[in-house]
Amino acid sequence: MNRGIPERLEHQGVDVTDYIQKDFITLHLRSEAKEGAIRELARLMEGAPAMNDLKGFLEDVFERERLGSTGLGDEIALPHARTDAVNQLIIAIGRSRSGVEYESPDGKKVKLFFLMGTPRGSVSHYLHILAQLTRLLKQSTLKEKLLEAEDRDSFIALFKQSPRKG
Amino acid sequence: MSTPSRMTFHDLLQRIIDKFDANENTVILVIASFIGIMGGFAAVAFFELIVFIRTIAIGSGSNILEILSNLPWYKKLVLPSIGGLIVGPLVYFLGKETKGHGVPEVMESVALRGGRIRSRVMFLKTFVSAVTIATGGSVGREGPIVQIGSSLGSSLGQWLRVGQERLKVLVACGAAAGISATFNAPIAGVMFTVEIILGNYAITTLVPIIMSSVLATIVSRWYFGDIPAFEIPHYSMESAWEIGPYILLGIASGAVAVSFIKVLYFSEDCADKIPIKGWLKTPLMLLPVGVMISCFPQVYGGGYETITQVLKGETIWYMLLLLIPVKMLATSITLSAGGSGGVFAPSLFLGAVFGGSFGTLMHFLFPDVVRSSGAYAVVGMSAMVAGTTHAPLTAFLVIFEMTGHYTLILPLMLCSILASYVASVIKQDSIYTLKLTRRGVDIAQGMEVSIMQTTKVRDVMNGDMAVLDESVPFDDLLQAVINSNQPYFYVKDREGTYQGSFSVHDVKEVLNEEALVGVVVAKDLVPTSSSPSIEMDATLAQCMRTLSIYELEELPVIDNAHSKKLMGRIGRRDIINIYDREILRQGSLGLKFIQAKPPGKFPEQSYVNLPDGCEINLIPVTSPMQGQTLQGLAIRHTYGVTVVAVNRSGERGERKVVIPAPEEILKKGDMLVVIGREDALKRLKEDFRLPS
Repeated sequence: MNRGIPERLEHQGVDVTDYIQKDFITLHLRSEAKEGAIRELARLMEGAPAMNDLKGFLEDVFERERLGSTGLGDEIALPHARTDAVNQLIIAIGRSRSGVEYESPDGKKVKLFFLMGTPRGSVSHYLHILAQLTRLLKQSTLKEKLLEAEDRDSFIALFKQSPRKG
Repeated sequence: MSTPSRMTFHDLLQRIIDKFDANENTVILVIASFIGIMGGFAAVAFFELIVFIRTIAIGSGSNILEILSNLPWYKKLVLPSIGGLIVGPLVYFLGKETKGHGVPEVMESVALRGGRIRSRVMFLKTFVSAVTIATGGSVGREGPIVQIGSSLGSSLGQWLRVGQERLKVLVACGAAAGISATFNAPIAGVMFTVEIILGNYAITTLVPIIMSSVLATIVSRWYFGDIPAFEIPHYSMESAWEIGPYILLGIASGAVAVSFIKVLYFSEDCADKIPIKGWLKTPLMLLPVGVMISCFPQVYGGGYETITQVLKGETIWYMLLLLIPVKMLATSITLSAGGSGGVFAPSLFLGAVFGGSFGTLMHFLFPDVVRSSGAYAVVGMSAMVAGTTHAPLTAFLVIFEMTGHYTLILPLMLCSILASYVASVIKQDSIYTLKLTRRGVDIAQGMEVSIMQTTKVRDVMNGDMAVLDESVPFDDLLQAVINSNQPYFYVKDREGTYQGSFSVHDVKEVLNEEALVGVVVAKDLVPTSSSPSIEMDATLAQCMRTLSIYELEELPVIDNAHSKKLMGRIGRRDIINIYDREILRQGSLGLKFIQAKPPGKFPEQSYVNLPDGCEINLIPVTSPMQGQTLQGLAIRHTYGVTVVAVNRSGERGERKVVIPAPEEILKKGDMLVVIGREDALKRLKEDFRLPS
């Protein structure tokens, strides 16, 4: 049985990689602390049409972080918020060479950040997006390639090439 | 032990009924006749009491305006407040329901309490209203006499133990008797009762009411003579073209009636805010009424002399105009101060002065069509009463009967329906129903809606709910969903503040989604901005509205909008259940039991219907009972009364409830919870020297 994307949602044609944009990627995060790294990523979203209120968005992300770390382990973190501060799914991606302390379950420093905002609305849709993204990232080959990508274009290409379901 | 006389009377009555094979309607008709005669005498006595007190207050004489003109100004100034010094403490200490204009209280007792009125109300109401009116309070006799008559009918009916529906009819008979005798207007008395108090035109209801009305009027005519309340010149509709001014008068009166209602209730709101404590408020607030009487003696009491003058067209136009706001204020302040009296006579007064000024204007504009302003004053009265009471039939019939002239019936009818219509379009509530609506009692919708509007969410809510802390991780959350049989999950933060909810449907598609473990916590599943909820103190009606607006099956209950502590949940089903149960409960006496639960759990409620005529009472243990056992007292054997529980003081003074064994020894300070028939309980109380 395909335990991946539930059939009904697949029909909605939601593909998280469609939301990965070059402008919202930085391969050289300078911050060495968790909060700084998130702020640095959020700054990429400034002025984006999907963003209603950057300050509110950050508040919601930090509030969510307070409830429990979004570090997935294996050098990846997925800070996120379901919030009125965005009007559409928006994702910013950052890479840190040296890694950032993130209270991850495996204790490893985080090198890949996916900052995600989703508008209010259907809970199942939101969960589906989150699940899709985490499944992609849990493929160890993709993660290794992402860490080594030369530039933002090849970074995006890696996502587009990776198998969607699995 | 002596048998109470009431039992003998009952036996006698029953024997008479059996002998003549009389049906219940016949019996009610006989009782109604009796109420009619009593009501007639009550109206006469009430009138004489007012005259008596007035004679002490300002001196004797038939024309109040004449007496007042000979009175020094300072006496007029303090007179209402002196009345207030008597009325204030009486109302404050003895019976708050005697305050105000009386009719709404009767409507409420018919709609909600099956016509039960305390008989104490009758005597107290008679006295405080008489004092208020006689010392110049700008109110009328009809409100008090309706309350007095109704209370008479209710007391007699309760004494004879008639059923609830019959009791309402007897209350109506009393009200009709009071109105009929007071205004010498039997038809209007009947109409007033069916239109305003009962809202029911069934013929079986009408027969006893008419009987009561007729007999009350006969008593009143025997005493006062058959003279119309207002003796006026012979007016008639002079030309067909007068219909134009009359239509205008009807519409305008409706608007003025609404402003009177608004001024009255605004004034009551202001009075509530005045920081004077208790009974002293009444005399102090009546001072401005004294000032008004010093300047405009016309607003003294019911103002019938002034109305008669206006109807004869003897009052100058600017005085008429001035009297409109002055009378509105005088009546509103008298009632908000805590005075007791009716708003019917003030409505007549306002209608007369407004109609009079309107007529004067029309006469000035169209002298050929409008011959005199007096006819407009007559019609204005009817229109104003219709506008304030929303009872057009009563309005034109009462004016027709009070003037004794049939010739104005067409404009009377026309203006009454127009004013009533216009007033009800501007404001849904009449001067009577507004008072009840503000307390959440909806007379028009009847009992069913009243349940929805008087029952609080806290009484119905369910404490058994699935609550998750906002930081619960996804795997624990899934476990909770799988193990629970609840459809909704409520999320709170560390302080217990409600954050939002999600349903099983929201998460059922990701139940196997291991990828989400470590990414999602409970808070992620609820919206960041506020989710709908309902406060504990909201009514079921408000709750139902919120459920409908958000198309939800269930709502979380919070303590208040400020702290938003999660207290429980309430569903459509819970509301419908309570609604059905309350509807079924009508007609029989019901008991609500609240079953205690361990701390933290919510008490459970259930209902038990007692057999008809049974009551549950809490009675103190008196000295003849002390040291005795329940077995020894043989309460059940002797009286047919069952002791279901003993409420007793514990060692530290806390009260606890004991289910008594037959050999339980009763102690001083114990309270017995007993169930039995009303008469049995009364006998028990008499024998053990308890206050009934």
